[in-house]
Amino acid sequence: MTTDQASQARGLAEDSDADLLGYMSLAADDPAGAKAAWAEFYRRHVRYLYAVCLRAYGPLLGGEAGVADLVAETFKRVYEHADKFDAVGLTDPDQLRLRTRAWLGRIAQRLAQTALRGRSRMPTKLFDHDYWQSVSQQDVPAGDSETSGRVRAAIESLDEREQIVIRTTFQWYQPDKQHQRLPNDVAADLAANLATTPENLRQIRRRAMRKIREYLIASAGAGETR
Amino acid sequence: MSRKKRNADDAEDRAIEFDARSALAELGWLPPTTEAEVVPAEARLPESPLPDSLADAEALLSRSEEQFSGSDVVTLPGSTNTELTLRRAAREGGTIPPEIEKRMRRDRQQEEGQMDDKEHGQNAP
Repeated sequence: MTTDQASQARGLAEDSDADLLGYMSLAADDPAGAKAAWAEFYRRHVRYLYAVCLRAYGPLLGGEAGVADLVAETFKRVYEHADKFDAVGLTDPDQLRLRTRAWLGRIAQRLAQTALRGRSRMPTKLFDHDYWQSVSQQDVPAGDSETSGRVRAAIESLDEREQIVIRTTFQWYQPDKQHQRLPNDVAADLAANLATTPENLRQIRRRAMRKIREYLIASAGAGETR
Repeated sequence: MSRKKRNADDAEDRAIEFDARSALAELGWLPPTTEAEVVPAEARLPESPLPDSLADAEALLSRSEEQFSGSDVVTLPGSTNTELTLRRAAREGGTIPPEIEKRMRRDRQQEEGQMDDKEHGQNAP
């Protein structure tokens, strides 16, 4: 590393995530600066993103190699679409870090959905304009923590097959939709993996949701009698 | 079942699904996609080492550039030279002599056969 590069690296370490993304968005004018910014951005977030993706997608993408591909692709998309990051109203570095990581999570989630749909390890096509609009704005409100703690226990009580079905179908969960739907190709793939039929998947999901409901009713009753 | 009861059940199902989604995020089965979800995820991060493929940022970016510069060039049976020649002739209204057409079709079949062999070879255990 040259002295200039070392100096540049030291400078970038003090820049905010929004600044780094700003440098990346100027890649056409200053490719070296954009790549240096990307390297610093990568250093800050790669361990976090790898850890959460390994937890979320390890079983669905074939383990560490599949997750590593997902993480690499996510950072590549960040480099190419850095200008889509919305940091409006934020100056606090911690808040910026949270927003940045939420954004990374949404990109990784959409890439994983595409990979699961394409039955390939990773898509090679870029997303269209509408996708980048939705990825920067999408937000799911948080649930009540006490209730979700009980739901979490209920989910952990399901058998392995039911957990896989729940885990996969909720990748496509849309809170504004009354009826949740798994893409046909994903349903076919999941059914094949579980040696069952897409219709049976619906039954497994229904049964799992019923078990969760019964668990919640039982645990609420136990709470009232204490 | 009355409509009122059915609507109440649907609302309850949706509420449970909503809570299930939050619980899955807490379990780490969905990646954190909101700022509120990132906070607990950071707190419970396991100290897992990075795989070799993610260790070097610069190498990763260079590799991505190489891979993606050629990723859109995919030869499929429907877009071989023979097929394109046939299409061009059809577009331009030209007549293809029978012996040329026969040869082009033979070439095309041969190319498709090679594609099949390649594909099966890749999928072989």
